[in-house]
Amino acid sequence: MNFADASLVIVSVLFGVYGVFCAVESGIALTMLWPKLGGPPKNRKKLAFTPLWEVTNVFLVFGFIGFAVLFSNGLKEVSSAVLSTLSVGFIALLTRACLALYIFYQSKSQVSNSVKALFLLSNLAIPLSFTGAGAYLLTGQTFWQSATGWLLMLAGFLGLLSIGLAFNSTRRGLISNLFAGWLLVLCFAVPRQLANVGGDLRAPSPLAVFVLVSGLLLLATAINDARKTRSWVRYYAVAISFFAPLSLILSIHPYLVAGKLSLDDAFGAQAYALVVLTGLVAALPLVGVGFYVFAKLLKMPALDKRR
Amino acid sequence: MDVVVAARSLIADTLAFHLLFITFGVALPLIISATELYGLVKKRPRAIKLAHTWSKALVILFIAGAVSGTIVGLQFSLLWPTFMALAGQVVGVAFALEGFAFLIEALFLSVYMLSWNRFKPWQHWLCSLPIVLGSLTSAYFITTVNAWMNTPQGFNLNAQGEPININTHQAIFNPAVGTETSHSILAYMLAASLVLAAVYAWIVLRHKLEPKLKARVLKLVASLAAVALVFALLVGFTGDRSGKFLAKNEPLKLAAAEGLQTTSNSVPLLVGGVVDGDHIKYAITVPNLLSWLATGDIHGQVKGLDSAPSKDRPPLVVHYFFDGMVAIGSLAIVVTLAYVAANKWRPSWAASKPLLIAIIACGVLGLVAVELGWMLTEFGRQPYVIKGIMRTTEAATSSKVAIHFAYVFPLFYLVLFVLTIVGLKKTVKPTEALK
Repeated sequence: MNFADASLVIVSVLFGVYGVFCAVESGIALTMLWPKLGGPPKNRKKLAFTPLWEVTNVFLVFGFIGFAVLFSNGLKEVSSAVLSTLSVGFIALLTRACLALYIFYQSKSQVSNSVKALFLLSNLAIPLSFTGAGAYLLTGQTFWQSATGWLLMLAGFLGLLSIGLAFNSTRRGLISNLFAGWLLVLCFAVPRQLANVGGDLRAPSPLAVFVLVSGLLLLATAINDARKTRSWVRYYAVAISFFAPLSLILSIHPYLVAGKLSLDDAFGAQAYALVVLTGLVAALPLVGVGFYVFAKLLKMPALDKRR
Repeated sequence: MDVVVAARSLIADTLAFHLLFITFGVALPLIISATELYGLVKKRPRAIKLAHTWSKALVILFIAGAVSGTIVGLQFSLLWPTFMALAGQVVGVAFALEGFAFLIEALFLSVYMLSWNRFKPWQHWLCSLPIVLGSLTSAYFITTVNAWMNTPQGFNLNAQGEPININTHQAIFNPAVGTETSHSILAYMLAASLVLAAVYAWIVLRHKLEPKLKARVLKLVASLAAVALVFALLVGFTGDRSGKFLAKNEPLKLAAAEGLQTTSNSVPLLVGGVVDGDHIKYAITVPNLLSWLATGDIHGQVKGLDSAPSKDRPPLVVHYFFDGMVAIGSLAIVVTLAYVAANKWRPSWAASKPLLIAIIACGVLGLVAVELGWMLTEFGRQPYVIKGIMRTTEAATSSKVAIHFAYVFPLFYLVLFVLTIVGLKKTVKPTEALK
């Protein structure tokens, strides 16, 4: 693995982390709109409306700037092709921030369903716009120009619902079905379609590994459900959200944009790759500790109420 | 509207909006931490409550700042791909370090907010230190990138225009970094302390407060004015250093700010006036002052716009930005000094309508000055995005999609701005801590 390959992994992981956070918030938005899905615990809802949640944006910026810097030689071509898709994501980002502030400062009964629906839509639109940009890398076309693009968008959508509900709902059966549907689309329909569009998958082995891992996780979910033991779907879903973009992008290796731009031609800066990699190694545990401390603080009684 | 103008409008709108909030994001953590420390050392519970109140405001401003900051980062990559291709390779590390600093700030801000009354007082105050560190270092690193755009170094370009012999250390510690970071960060401190003073001055003017509370609020206005005065003097000092730096390293920016066409000695300073083509008309002329400010010698030579071909000269509109910024800075020194003096020797004057209105005006103008300062920096570097290396027209995207979005984004910023203000009004009760 050379620096260009490692950089692709870094960027992919960053977007994967951001995707998980987005999905969790989408799940909160979904259960706010349809409480029958089984609402999130109060603490988790609090967590999504704090400055800590804005930490999630760092992964988006890192991923994005990382892509721009690491693959600087191909940036001009890629940015022109995905500008419209991502601009929709920016607008969704602003809309989400406006609505989050609005919802936070209104009493629960004052927030109408249309506002909640718009909040859900904006939450879904942000990661989906990045899925659209990913579809361009995988197919060399904007997502609306090919069935593969639409299929990838469907996979992104199902992924968001699966992870979102897995973290925020008590409807175990629904979550398992969604998760299974997501894996079926990702493991069978997408690779098949990619092979048709791209003519050949240059490196099919990452996808084969992915299909194998996904199959095992699906089996584990089914066993869990049959035995009614603790559900691990949320962790499986998080694992898939890392594996899926990584294996898909590695499957078109040595291309960054399928059939158009090779990784080596697009690759730019090594120094940046090192800083981001080192920083992430330090930052990811820090974020984990941050969320842990924050969750503990939410449960901790005030000083004057302690005995 | 062509694509370059659309890209410039989009990034200008986003940065202008972002600046309003990061002014507080950078300055408030230090002010809050200092206030809490003062309360702990001097055993003043009201000061600690005040820090708590301000920290609630910080959270709301932080959210708006984080969202706009995210969009800034993404727009850099999408709208300015050629710029990012070069800047990313040479000073990309500064972008990454800024991100990590923000990460620390966001993490500890959450812990800090939730640990009021959950941690012991000193433990709680300690949580504020990483927020201060994170906010200052993130401002430092991102300003470093801008400083590099003004005085690029740490690389060479090969025949294909690609950077070679990259020295990241040299690029990050470029000549402009000292003056630019110190001047901008101190300006944020000044603007934030002026806004805080203005909020309390507004409360005194608009609300009927009981005498004891009114006296406390006025005392707070005086304290904040004193803090603002210190920052205003420091901003003045760093501004003077920046002027001398510009004369030496970015002479065209200074020449455009003063409408100086030809390189000359004993150059006067132009105050006010109207830009008319290549000249500034109706300005008040102060003999030899520009020479003295730029070189430390009243007969010193100042480079004019004729030192560069006409296609490389910045627009004279920067004269307005420069004059506006300096005028507001000077006004801030006069008003805060007057207020502090009135509070000490003529307390009834400190409660008078004219002085309180002046403080409120300074609060608004402080933010305007921050915007003007950055407009001077950016417009003064035109037609280059990286001075002498890359023109703005070369750096922009070629996608026409940018044109449509240039009209949409300002509307969203307006909505977010209004909601942020509404959020502040609903959440923060400024005088509660003083009761």
